[in-house]
Amino acid sequence: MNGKLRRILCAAALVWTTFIATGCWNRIELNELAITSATGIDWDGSKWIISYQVVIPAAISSGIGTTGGTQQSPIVVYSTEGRTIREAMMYSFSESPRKLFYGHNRVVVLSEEVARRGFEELIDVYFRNAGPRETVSMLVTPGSARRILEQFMQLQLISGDGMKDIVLSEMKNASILPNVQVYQLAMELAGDAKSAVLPEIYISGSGDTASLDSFKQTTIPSKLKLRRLAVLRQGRMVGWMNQRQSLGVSYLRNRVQQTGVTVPCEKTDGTRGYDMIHISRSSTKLKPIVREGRLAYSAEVHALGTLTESGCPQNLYKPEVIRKIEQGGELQIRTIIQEAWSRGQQLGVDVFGAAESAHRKHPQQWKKWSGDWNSVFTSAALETNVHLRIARMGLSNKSFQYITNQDKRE
Amino acid sequence: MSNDATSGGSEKPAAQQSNSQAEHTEHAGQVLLPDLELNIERLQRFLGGGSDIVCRTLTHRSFDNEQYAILYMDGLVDGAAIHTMLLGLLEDANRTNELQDDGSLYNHLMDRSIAVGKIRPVTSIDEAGYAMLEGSTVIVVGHSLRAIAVDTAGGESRSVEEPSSQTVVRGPKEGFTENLRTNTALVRRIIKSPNLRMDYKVVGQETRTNIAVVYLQGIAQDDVVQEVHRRIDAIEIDGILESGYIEEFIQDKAFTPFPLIQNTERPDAACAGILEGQVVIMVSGTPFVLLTPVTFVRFFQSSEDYYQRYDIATFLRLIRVASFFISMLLPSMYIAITTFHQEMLPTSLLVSLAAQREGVPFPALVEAFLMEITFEILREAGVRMPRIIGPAISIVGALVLGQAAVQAGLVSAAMVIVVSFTAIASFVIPAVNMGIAARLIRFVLMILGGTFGLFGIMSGLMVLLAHLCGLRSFGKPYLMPISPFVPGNLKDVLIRVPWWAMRNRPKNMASKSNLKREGSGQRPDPDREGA
Repeated sequence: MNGKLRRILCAAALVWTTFIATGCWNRIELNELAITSATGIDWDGSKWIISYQVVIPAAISSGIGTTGGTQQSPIVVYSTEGRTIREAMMYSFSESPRKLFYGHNRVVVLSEEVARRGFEELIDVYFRNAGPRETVSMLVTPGSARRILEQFMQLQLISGDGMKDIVLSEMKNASILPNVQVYQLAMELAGDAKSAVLPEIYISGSGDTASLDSFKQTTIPSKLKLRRLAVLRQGRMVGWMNQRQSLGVSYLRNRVQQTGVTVPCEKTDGTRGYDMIHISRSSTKLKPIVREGRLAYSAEVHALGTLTESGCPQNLYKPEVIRKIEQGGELQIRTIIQEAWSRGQQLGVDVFGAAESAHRKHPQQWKKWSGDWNSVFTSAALETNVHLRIARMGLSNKSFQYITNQDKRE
Repeated sequence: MSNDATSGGSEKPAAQQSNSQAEHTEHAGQVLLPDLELNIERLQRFLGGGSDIVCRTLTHRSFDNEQYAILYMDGLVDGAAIHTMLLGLLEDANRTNELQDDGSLYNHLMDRSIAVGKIRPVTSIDEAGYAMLEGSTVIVVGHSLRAIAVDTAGGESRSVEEPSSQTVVRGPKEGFTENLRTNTALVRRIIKSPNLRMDYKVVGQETRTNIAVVYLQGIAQDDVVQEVHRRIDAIEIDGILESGYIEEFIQDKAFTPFPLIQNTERPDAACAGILEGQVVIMVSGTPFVLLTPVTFVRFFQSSEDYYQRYDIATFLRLIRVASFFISMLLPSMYIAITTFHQEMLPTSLLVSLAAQREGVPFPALVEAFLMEITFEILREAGVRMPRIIGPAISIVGALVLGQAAVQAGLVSAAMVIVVSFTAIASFVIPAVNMGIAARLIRFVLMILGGTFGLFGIMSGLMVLLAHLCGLRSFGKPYLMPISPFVPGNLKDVLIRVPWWAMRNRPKNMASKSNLKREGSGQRPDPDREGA
């Protein structure tokens, strides 16, 4: 009994020492954290300049439930510089009262300079450390990344959060630009094509929206907007693709969730009007074909849509009218895809996943192609097959122009 | 009987012999002597001669005007029964014409004149004394070596009321009382089976508390019944005031926060247990009866589960299990996530929580401990204080400790929400003793969560699980039917299937030869009769 008691006491003492010896290693209270919502990366030619957008919880919380107008800025931005990214982050301790916390970082904004220089170091930092997440969205901006972080956003107090929301919502509803996360970028850069894309964010308008006073007006002087698609080859940015081309890239990569197609049509007076088809479902199969020893591709697009706007006098009761609109839409999609393909070939960057599919389908020939993939890709032809079906035409049938112009037509 | 009476004379030497023994063991084992006065005096001395001893001497007209005395303890007896018995005795004592041929007054009284059902002969002073202490009336007959103990137990006791600790919306409203006889009757009234066994015992040298072991022969497992008897018989204590005394003596393992024996105040719950093969231990003086063997999942079953429809019963049971985990884990999870794993929270929630924590001076662990201890104090105060000052406590608790503490910046509002929700969740568990287990474990997990984060909580839960797997209740695995896994018995664990589908009794409780409790194919089906 005595021995048993002693054993229990010894065990209790051992357990107790573990409690006092740890010092609760990485325990950190919520009010000791500086929650970083966005990071900006700039390069001044010899040093990294890292900017942080830090959330001020108290300023945000006081706005909740009350009038919504906060006196204090909900975010603060500051920068540190260093020869390495982590060195710059280290210097943040000399100016921040709280420890920077990257777990909730939503976006990383790269300046175009950094993108053109290459940023393998940044990806390494993301993969090497447990704190920052690899699911952070990446954006490229022409000009200074820090300036992007300084902008306020309408409807969203934390603009870093807001930028991510814009990217996600754009991807879901328009599908022009993809949401590229750090790990996806790394996978693509390390993949067969050694190429990737990043969406662009820029400040549209004049001046900065860096003061809360801007929100006292209905129009704010400048806004953060998504625009083009930055194209990277072997870790370096080589050029831009415009919105049409990047929508083509989305089609080819089968990334279209929902988008729209504008189809030209003819009005009664002979001028051009437009119909709008909202694509609610789309799938693309990009197949490599070997023809006479040369590599070519075929893209098969199946899309399903709703007619959301009819800009010409059309009697939509007639199936041939619908068929005509469908054919117009198919032509539009085909053009968009071809434009993207030729732009990709022009930049010499395979951002369509063409290399992966060729590698998978023809593993034998791939050994030959991979040595000079760039020239194989730039000479590969693409044939597109688009099948668009208008499943619904909304709540009304005949277009309103058809009704108002009935007598003129007869 | 008549044999004893005729051999009355031969008893004398034996009596004297024991009388001589009595010189060194004062009252113990004293046999009655054929001297009424002496017997009465010895009996009164045995009982300490309090004023509650009532002694009435009667003279019978027949039997040579032989005297006999009626003794009972005032307050322990049923007044009406005494009254009826006395009337009968007086009437009988005044009769002369019917001379009895039984020979002795003792036999006459025993056979012909006591208007009470349950009587028995007693032969010694202490036997008579203990009978009186249990509420019997003792009739000491002048020349006989035996007295008669008449069961007139009664006196003031609480009537059958609605149980206060386990209330239901639908179901019987009867509750056990402090009276053992009432309690056994309540069970017998529900289970009218000749196989219902009630074994009586007396435990406690001073209190001599009556205990009944109730089970259904053929359904309860014999080894469990024997083990219950063995463990109760082994108890040596001066007094048993509540079934909790018995529980601590007979449970399988002493050092565990989990209850290894179920208790209930409801006759229907006790009978449900008996029908599934449990053994019920009733203790005189408390409305709480014990049920054993028991499994972990039993504590999440309320008797109402079986009276309500099965769908809502299943839903409520899931809610209870969830509440158990909330009550055990929520504060520790909150501490662990906010101090170690901030990346697990959604951003907006993190920002909101961080804003609430602005200016809070203590670490989350200390904050949680402050609030939890405060709540436990409030709770204890609510239970102990006079009912009339109840509202004062709720005002102080809700306003001063809740709202004011947040406004003063001592604790964050989120912590108040966490602690309140935890507190409410802990009351959902139908068995109070399981709720207490969750409360105690909560504090250990809070320390683990505050020092090692989720890793600590997980380690704590693993130790807890290992501990649970090792527990036995009267030799039966505590986690059954989850571990060891008995698929057939899962119909009454997280979900409660309809009655017609629950054909088997629990395997670890009911006797193996008697597992079926209902016929097959009873699913309601309008076509069954026609087909």
